[in-house]
Amino acid sequence: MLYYRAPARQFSVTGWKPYLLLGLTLSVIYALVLSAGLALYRDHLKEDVAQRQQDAEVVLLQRQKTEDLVALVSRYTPLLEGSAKYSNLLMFLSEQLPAGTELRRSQLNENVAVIQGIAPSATEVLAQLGKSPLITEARFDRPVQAERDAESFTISFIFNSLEVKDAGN
Amino acid sequence: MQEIKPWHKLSLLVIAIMVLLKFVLLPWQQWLLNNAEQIAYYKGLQSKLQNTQLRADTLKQQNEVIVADYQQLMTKLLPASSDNNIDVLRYVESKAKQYHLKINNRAVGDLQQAPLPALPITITLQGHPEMILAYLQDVETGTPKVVISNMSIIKPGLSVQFVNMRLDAIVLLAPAEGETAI
Repeated sequence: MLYYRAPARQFSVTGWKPYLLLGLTLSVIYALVLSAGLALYRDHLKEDVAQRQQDAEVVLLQRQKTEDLVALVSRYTPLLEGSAKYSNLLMFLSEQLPAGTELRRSQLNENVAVIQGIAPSATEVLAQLGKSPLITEARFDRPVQAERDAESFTISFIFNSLEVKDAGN
Repeated sequence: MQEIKPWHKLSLLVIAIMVLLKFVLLPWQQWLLNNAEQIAYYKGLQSKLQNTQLRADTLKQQNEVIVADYQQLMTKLLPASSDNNIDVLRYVESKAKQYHLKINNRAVGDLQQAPLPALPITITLQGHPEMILAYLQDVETGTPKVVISNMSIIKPGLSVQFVNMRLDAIVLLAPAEGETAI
């Protein structure tokens, strides 16, 4: 009596185990390599970030110090810039006032100047001052008075000393 | 003893697979996901901190400039000390002597800290107008830095050749040590 003896079944029972084992082994090796690689990469990143954070903290600290220094210097700068406005005013007046003018009193507070004196013509003094671009709002503070052969005047004006410095440069 | 039948083997295999899934594969997958999240987090931080070195270099250059400015500034200021009153008086007296001016009055006020450390000073001088001008120029542009807040020049009489000048000023002092940690 003939019957079909299935060789495939015998092959499947005895032949798939090595492949399964091989597959499992390769899977485990893949998983281990992947896991180790991932863990190493993560640790490397972590160290790198920690190092960069440390550097960044140093940079921030340095930036803070620089900003403090900038603030300190900038507090002094305005006072240093308006350096010679009082002597500039005197120089300016000695050059600009018409001949024969004699100053009896000059005062400068911030940018507001007041001068008192006598001149052959007080109007000429005011006109001369008014011509200068360094002076604004020049006017007589008190009425002009005749005094011997001259006129006594009190003039106030705003003196832009910064422009004197620029003009000098 | 009961014989192990094929379906028993199948059941054991299913159980083994489920145990493997539950206690090995799923935790491993979770571990992988956690790692991937951490890596993404660190990579994000890394890219944020990417320009740190560049910023440090830029900052170093800026710092060098501002330190130079600061050192330049310090040369114009009187170092803060307990003898500042005497230093200031000596300074204005020596300058007055240099320009042949007579000091009629001088007073140094109390040390002020705000907005900047400074010593207020009031001084009244008498002398030739040209010498007064030279003195004023020297004091305004010299060292230590004197910032004049008010100036008044009066000629006491028509025939006299001298003038009186009153100055209200502050002498700037260097900031306290703790304020400038370069």
